[in-house]
Amino acid sequence: MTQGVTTLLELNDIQSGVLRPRQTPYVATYLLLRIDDQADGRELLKRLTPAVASAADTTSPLGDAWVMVALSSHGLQALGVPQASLESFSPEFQQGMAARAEELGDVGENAPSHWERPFGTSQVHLAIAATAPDRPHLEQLLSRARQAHQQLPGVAVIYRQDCAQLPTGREHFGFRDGIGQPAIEGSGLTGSNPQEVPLKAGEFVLGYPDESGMLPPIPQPEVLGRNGSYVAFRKLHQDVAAFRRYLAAHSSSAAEQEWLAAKMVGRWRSGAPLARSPEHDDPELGADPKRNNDFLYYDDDPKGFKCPPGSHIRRMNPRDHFKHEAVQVNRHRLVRRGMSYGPLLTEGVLEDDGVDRGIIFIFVGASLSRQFEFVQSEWVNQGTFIGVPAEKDPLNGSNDGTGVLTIPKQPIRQRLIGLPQFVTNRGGEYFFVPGLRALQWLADAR
Amino acid sequence: MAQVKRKGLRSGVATEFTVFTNVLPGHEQAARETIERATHDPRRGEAVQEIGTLHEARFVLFDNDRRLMFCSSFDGTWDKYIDDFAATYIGTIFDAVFSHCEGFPGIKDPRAKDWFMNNAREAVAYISAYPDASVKQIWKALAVQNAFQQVLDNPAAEQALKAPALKPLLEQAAT
Repeated sequence: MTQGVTTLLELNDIQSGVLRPRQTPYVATYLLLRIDDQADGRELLKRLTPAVASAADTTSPLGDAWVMVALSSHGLQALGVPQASLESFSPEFQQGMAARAEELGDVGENAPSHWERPFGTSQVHLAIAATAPDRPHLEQLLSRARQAHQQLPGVAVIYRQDCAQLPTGREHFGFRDGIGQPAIEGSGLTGSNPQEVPLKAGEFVLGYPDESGMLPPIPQPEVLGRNGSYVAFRKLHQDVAAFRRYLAAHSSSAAEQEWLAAKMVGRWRSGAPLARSPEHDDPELGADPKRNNDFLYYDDDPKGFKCPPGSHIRRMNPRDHFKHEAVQVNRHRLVRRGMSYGPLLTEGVLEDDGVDRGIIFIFVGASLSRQFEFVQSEWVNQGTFIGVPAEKDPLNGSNDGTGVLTIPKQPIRQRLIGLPQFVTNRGGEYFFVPGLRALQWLADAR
Repeated sequence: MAQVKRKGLRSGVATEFTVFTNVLPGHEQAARETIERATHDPRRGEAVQEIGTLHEARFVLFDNDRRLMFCSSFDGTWDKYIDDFAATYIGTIFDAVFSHCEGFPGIKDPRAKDWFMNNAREAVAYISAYPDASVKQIWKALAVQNAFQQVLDNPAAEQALKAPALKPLLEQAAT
């Protein structure tokens, strides 16, 4: 046990993207590659690795552009990682996201059979995430990357997704996002909630004690697993028109629409949390990173009169909601590195224009099943934890037109009914983000 | 890391979870005493509140106390929360009781889940009298019933319940 001791994180071996929040403004491109030839795959890694910044770097080796590299279980296999080593990774990682559809609520329209190819196939091997402050910078980087892999016939780019922060600075439903980030002990980065004790690094990076006080098993060999993290990547389509229509249909004024939207999410669109500003929006509060995440629930709002227990942010992170219950929220926290994609739907438009837009959702952590899958199956796609088993997350739960949200309210609670699905999973995969030494180990010929 | 398949039949919102283990030779008396002590501990009631998803549980010693059966029903799936329980008072009870059983690695050991799975036997049938009701819903329903009965005891109730909006309640008031 290492209670009371802050473990030193090897920041210079952890990929920067695991601990560093995304820049603002951002543009990004995600590339998925298939490795057809082991030697070419390793050569590509060899060329990529010098471009990958560590969490200790204040500037990227590429100047303003940042690169993160991750591999799926099939990808590790394609690189020639031995079977015994492959089997030391977590079972859900080995299975891949498509095989976890039942766990994740990826049914109906979310089902892998509807996913965009190549998601859900065994062809997704290597993921490269490149971010930069603007598109010209990024294209410069991408053309150099293209040169690098074009010389290698045994690797193929099989998917590309461009992302960019919207001109509004918000996500597509109109909300400021990316506010809540956990503080990680030893990372040198403060979290966004001053009332929150930093979490043990082992909740997000492999090779360190986690919130259980123990050192969890990591993929083997040690050089491969240490300082790595797991990633869940999901392309989430957002039906903005449906969201607008629902709000309009269930309220009788613009102000009421804003109130409903806030109750569904747990924040006003500005980012101001209901927990601190329950009656009306407070844009200054929403924009203030020192205050917009400074709140808890148990003492001030146990019944959820301010922030409904079923609202999106309270489900994604219940904070101290379970203060007197046997749920260890600290074991189910998420680091999220999501990015918007697609153009804005013009203000006021209530019909879908058929254009693809949404969010590339990325979870980073030490355990896909205990963190990402747990939150999805226990807190997003059901409401047993808050006494309403049938209720799902109103924003991103797999509702089917019969969804319900209970809004505690004096003297009589309000209930939203007929919630449809606003967010659809268009495809995803589980990846492993190796440490820098591990990348070198993977690249070296054996 | 092998994953042992989860066991437990579902009925509505709840899952049954039944474990059969061998008591370590010579530990029969200690096992019985540990269980009795745990159930009489005043913290037991709090513990049930803390879990919030446990419908019922029983420890049964049989075959001359050489075998221990743990039998329970939970809302949802137990294996998701067992790690959370391990860190609480419930975890210390489990640790104390199952420490008298063969092969138990300790509640905080990562192999504890596998031990429970290996010793669990899925029911052939599991029937609930209220399959759609979770523990929290039942608690809420009882609280509402209590409140309703208090309302009915008030002489002003009869008139109040004649309001059209209260018709469903009026229909429950007569018996």
